[in-house]
Amino acid sequence: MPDTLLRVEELRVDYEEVTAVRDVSFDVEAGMVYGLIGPNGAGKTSIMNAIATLVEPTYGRVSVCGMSVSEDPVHALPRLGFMPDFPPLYEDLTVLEFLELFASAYGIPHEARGTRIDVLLEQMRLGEKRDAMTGSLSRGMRQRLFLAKTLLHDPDVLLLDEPASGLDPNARSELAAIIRGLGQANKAVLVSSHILAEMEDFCNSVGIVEEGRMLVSGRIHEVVSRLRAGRSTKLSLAVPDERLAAFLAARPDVTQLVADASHAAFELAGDVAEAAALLHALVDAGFAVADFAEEAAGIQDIFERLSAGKTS
Amino acid sequence: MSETWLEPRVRLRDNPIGIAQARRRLRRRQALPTLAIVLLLSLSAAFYGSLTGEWLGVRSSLLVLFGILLFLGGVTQVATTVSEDRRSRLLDFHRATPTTPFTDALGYAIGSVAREYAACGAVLPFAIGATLLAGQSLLALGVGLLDIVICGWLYHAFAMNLALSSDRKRIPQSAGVIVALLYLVVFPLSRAGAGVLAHLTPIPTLAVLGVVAGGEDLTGFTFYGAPLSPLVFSFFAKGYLIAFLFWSAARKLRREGAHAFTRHGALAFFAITEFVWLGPVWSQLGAPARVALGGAVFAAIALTLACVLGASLVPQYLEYARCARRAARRASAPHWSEEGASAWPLIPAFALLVWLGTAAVVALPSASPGPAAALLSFEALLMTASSVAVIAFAIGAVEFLRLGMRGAAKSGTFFVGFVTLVLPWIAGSIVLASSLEPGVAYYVFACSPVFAGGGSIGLWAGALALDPVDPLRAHHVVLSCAVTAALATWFLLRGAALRRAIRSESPAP
Repeated sequence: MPDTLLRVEELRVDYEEVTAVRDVSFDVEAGMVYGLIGPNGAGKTSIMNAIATLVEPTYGRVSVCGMSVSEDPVHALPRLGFMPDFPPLYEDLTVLEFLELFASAYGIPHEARGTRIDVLLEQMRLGEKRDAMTGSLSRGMRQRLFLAKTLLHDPDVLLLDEPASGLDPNARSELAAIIRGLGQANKAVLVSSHILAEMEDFCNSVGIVEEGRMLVSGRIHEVVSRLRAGRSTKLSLAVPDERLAAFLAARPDVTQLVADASHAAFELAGDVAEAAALLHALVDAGFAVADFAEEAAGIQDIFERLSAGKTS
Repeated sequence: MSETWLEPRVRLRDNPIGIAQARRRLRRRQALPTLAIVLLLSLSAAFYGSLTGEWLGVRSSLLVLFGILLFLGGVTQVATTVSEDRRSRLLDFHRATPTTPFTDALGYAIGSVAREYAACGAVLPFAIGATLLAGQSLLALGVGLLDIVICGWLYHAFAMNLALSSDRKRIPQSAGVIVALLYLVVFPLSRAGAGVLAHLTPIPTLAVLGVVAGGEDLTGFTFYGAPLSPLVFSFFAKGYLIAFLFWSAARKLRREGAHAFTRHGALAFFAITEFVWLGPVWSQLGAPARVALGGAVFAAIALTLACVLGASLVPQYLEYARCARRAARRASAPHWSEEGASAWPLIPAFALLVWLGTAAVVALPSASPGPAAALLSFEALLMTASSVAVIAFAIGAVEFLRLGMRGAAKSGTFFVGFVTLVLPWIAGSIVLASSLEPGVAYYVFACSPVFAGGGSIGLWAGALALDPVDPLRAHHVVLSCAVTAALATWFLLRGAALRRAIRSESPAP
């Protein structure tokens, strides 16, 4: 099995009056939880729909486990699980019947269906609802039922479009744990959202989309190191010292300095050795350093650096 | 999924949509009242039979009940289910699963009608009992019921296409009304001995089997002069339509907004339709007058169908833009058979098929003035030219409007259709009513492509019937052909300019 489970190459999606996706390319490897981030209307859902074959791309290629979804859907689609943003239900089917419908659609053998459905219902805490009509489920339960439907055939690649929308904080936390677990189970997970805080919980890779274009794509730490001039560093002093700003400003490896007598934030060029050398120099110069740490970079940070919030 | 699993092209057993829809339709609370009503109606018929001994009448009534359940109830249910799934986006889920669209289409066609099939199952014992008590053949009843079910599939496939093509909320009712209208048209035509359309219903089969009385006498039924069982023809005529309609529904189930047919598929459908429906009437066109009438009717229907099919294959703006961009990336021009490509290359193909069908009508040995004269006369050449012009007008106008007016194409088509196809007839009628000289009105009529098509067919039919042709009318038809050709040329040239503009917007390879 190839390491890259989902490959999108030069994808373009046109609608009547707008180009929603412009030559977007990215890979999602096994074990990646890839956050597709962008403002509403940036093109995230169009990318998802094109991967799931719901929208015909103008051109470009989408392959799942090495197989083209447009040219070889019979082989590619069983390896793909798709959960749209507002999933509809047959409200007059029971939870069990609804899952059986898709178990059959994905070719799960009769003898294996019951066990598989039971496992997922327990995992999604819907065991007690198996004979309830889907129309009677709450919003959170519906989302969990849909996640169960998406995982039913144990796909290698998962597309989750705004999976946490409408969920309460507890349900979001549970969902984050499930998505992290999918990454640990070596699945390739593509999650789209415009709520960055929830993406921080489970994504280890990121792609930022704006006006239908992919601004940046890759593992979070790689993207951060590409975007930053150096290491974002913060320090604070136990005893305020007016010399701090001048001392740091005089150093050639310090940029983007914001400092007062007690605190400083700056970009430090170089690696860990340069950070240790600076700390040593500060202590030697008589500064009472109470805290010296590299600031953890997150999705929010990346997004703010890149995005102007434009839609396609 | 770690193990290799291959989805079959069509799943009859374990059809996911079929099972899910059947479960929805057979919920005890909803299904029981329907079944109870059907049982009560059947019991009433049986009671009537036991009192009067008219078991043949009872059987006929029960067959009508079958028809109502499958044709009206079934059609409405299929259209409702597909339409709701399309609007709620549940159809998107099915599109994203590995099941083929043929499996999905079959699932909707069977599963949505589960309650009606169950109700028919409840009526069946009564129908069998009535047949036995009437001393009639059970085999005949079985064949008749099979034809009713096949007719049901035809209408259900039609309803599915309607629901997948239209955004209107009243599609289910519309589908039922169209089926009811078919029967309203068929009965008078059958009584008049011109009931070839009746083969879209179970009436000919049931009449041949003696299950129902009335209808057209089908003894001596022939297909291109060769004796053929009307049952075989009836099953074949419905069968090919079911196949094409299911194929069309499957294409639309796979992709929202897909054309009903591929271009090759549309040409094949047109050719098969001509072949099938000309067959039964061919040998009836023995006398010159009947050749003329039959030829005229056939040519008019063929020309209309060619225009409708041709226009339906014209790409929308977005389709053409996508096709042009794909072509630009591979540094080539769009191929005519691509669905997004311009439809103008189909004009000669459809015109040729219309001509071939018409030629077949006059190829009868008994036809007068003979095939060669009928096809090489001035009137025949004028009809051929006007067919090309009318088809070119239909395809050119629709292409210009779709590419040029984009979202407003529907209203634009309505306006252009009114101005070119309807207004000249209104204006001409006013002139005709107010003027003593009818020739002036014909000049106004001549502005409509309908006059070019209909007029040229009329002239040709007149020549076949050895009627003298009024030179004034020929003059008007020639003028109308010229107007239609001019309109078609203008639309095609404007369409070509729009295509060039769209291609210039396409990104370089």
